[in-house]
Amino acid sequence: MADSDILKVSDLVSVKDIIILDKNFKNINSLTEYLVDLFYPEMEKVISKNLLLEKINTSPSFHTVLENGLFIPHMKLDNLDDFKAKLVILKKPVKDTETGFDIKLVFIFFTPLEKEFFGKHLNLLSNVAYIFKDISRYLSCDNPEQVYEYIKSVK
Amino acid sequence: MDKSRIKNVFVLSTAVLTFISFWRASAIVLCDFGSSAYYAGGIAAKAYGPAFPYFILAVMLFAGFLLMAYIESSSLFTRGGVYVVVRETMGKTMAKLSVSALLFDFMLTGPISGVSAGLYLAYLIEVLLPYFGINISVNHRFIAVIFAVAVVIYFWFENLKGVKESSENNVRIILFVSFVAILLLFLSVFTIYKKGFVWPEFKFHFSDESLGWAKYIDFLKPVGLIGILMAFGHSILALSGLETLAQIFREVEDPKIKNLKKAVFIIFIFAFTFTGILTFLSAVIIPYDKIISKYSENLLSGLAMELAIPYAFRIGLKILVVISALLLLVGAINTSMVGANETLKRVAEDGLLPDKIRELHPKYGTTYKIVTLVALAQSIIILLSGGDVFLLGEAYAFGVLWSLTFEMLSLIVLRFKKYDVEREWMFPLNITYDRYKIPVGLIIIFIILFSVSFINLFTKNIATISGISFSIILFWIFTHFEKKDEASMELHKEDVEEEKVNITTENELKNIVSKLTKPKRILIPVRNPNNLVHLKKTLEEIDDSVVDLVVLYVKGEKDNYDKNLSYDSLDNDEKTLFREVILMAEKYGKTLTPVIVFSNDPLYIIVYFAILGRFDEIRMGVSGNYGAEAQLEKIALNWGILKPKNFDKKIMVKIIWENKEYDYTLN
Repeated sequence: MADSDILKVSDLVSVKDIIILDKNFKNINSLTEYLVDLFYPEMEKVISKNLLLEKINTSPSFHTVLENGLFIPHMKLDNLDDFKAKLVILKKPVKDTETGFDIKLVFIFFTPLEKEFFGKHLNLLSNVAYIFKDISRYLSCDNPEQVYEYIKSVK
Repeated sequence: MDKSRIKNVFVLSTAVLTFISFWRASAIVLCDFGSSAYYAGGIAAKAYGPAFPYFILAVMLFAGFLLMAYIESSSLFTRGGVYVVVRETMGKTMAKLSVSALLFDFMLTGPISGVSAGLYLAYLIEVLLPYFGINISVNHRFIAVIFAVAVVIYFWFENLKGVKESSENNVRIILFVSFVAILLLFLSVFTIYKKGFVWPEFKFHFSDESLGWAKYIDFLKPVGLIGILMAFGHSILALSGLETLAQIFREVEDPKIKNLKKAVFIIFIFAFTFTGILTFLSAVIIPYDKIISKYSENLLSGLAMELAIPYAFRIGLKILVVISALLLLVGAINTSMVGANETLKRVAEDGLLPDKIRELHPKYGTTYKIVTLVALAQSIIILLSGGDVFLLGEAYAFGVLWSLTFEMLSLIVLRFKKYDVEREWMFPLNITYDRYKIPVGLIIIFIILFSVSFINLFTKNIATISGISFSIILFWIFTHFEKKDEASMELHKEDVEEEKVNITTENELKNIVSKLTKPKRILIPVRNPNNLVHLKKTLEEIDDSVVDLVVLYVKGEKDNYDKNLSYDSLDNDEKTLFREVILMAEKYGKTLTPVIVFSNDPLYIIVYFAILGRFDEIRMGVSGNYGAEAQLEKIALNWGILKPKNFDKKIMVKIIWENKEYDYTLN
């Protein structure tokens, strides 16, 4: 991996991309619909919302739920010129019936399909899993600024 | 790290996953092949008269060509030897016959070597006892029998421990024998310089015994070409070492054929000089009548005693010769056990012997039942011989000659049958016709071998009777178990050809890591026996003297998690997988450690093990379920989950498939 492949979470998301949510979701599908909505209308030129949802339903990598409650939906998209990401902290966990885990924190991102982004894509996945190993510290944050500061502080 | 995901760790072990150098391979073969120097000359002199040194020399030259033929057969079959080569071309029946004959000679190699060593010792004792004021008559043959049986028992135990251990001794033996041989050579030249020399007479004096049934057959008179073939046949006494070369080829380290060529060169030079030249020099320095009356049972001791040096030095040299004889001849017993063991293993793998005979020793991982059977048979033959080396010599060489004849014929047929298979080395003297390489050289070797084998049928009647009887009995045994095996194959059609390996349990993966000592480490996860391109490419390119290779199979926990896993509890696909891994390691002569881990999360375990073992690389095949990119994503994700704080090592991940590779460094 070249140094150019290193992609820090703190470089990708800003305070405005962090959402602390106190909302009930029926299941992971309704959560996903909510998450996709966050990227619109910004991503309209890249892919229509319906088509994206359709793609998500057939993409196994999108459904990445870890034991600690971290959900990392991600996908590579054509016509995208840079990474797009959001961090959502769920005050009310959502049960993932497939794994049986309670989803408490979501880091969703989209990667440009071009080959040169793949190294960064992998690095981002590692970093997300590494930074959010202990999600309890993020769940206890009161506002996005605090979350962001905490992300920046993790080495 | 979540250790609870690892349910249990098992290590597969088999005797062949470590490999030996060409020096060791040469030493193992030479301990049989080279040992004939001590007895071949004496037996041949008694059999057909003063022309013997010319024929011993010729046999050693001829053996060089046979050694070359073995390189060609080894380049075709990693697990080769007479049985496999003949089976491939002429079918199982001929293969069974060939291997039965060959085993007859393996059974005799130990006894003839042990008895000869015992005789050398007995003659030395006879000379030394008066110096200690003891004047008793020495029963040479009694001492020979006791000594030979004791050595067979010793090497039986050594072989239970495995060939790697015992080959260390072979190397030491060959080094010491080389020193004695050079000393004898130098002093023989000095003696000839001092006393002058007369060429040995090229004259035949066939005894009644050595003419065998030929004396009743008009056209088989010991003159001209027939006489030469008869004498040649009586001189071929120690070619069984050649088959050992084929048997241990699977254990030769990378680059295999190159190392085999080096081994063949060493074997030839040593055997030609030690057996051929020293026997010739003995005949030059010692008058023929004296050889017959005094030294026929200990020719090289005789050479030491007839050198033009002071008497005390002669005694000293005789002691050295006897020590070397004891070492080399007892080494031959070891080699014959190794050779017989490997040959019988090959036969048992093919279902010609009960599968239980291949059961591995729980501690050493060796086929202890076969080793024990061979040692038992050799001990019985020694006792039956009563220490008569000439009797053993008369019985010897039936099997090795016929098996070599079949092998040469097979190699010729293979040139046509497998003309398109690339051979790393080809026996010289070939004529290209159409797409074939017509093996003129091999055909000449075959004609010589067949002629000698045919003549020996009449002249060596003890060999013919005992060899044919033994071969028929063994052939019957093989056929009997083959039929049983076929019946059981009908019942278990899905069974795969099984490799015999031991499985040992390790409490934790870190116990395996503690055994990795080389500067670089590569982890190779495997799953599908048909998807081992990554392992193949790795074996092709790495130098295993500086790289520890660990082949990891993660067995799904849901698949009958068994704390007491044995090889038999693996399913057929898994057995095939490990057989392929072992065969590949053998083919490239590279050492690896196969490990099974029970877990429900294979990729998690792969990354966990890579971090724990501070591996430099993970090399994987493409997953049929995910594809390479998704595979890398999962690895990256697990890296993030598992990477400890302050872990400074970078691990390169390579996803490898035919003509393509995906690399990513976990940082």
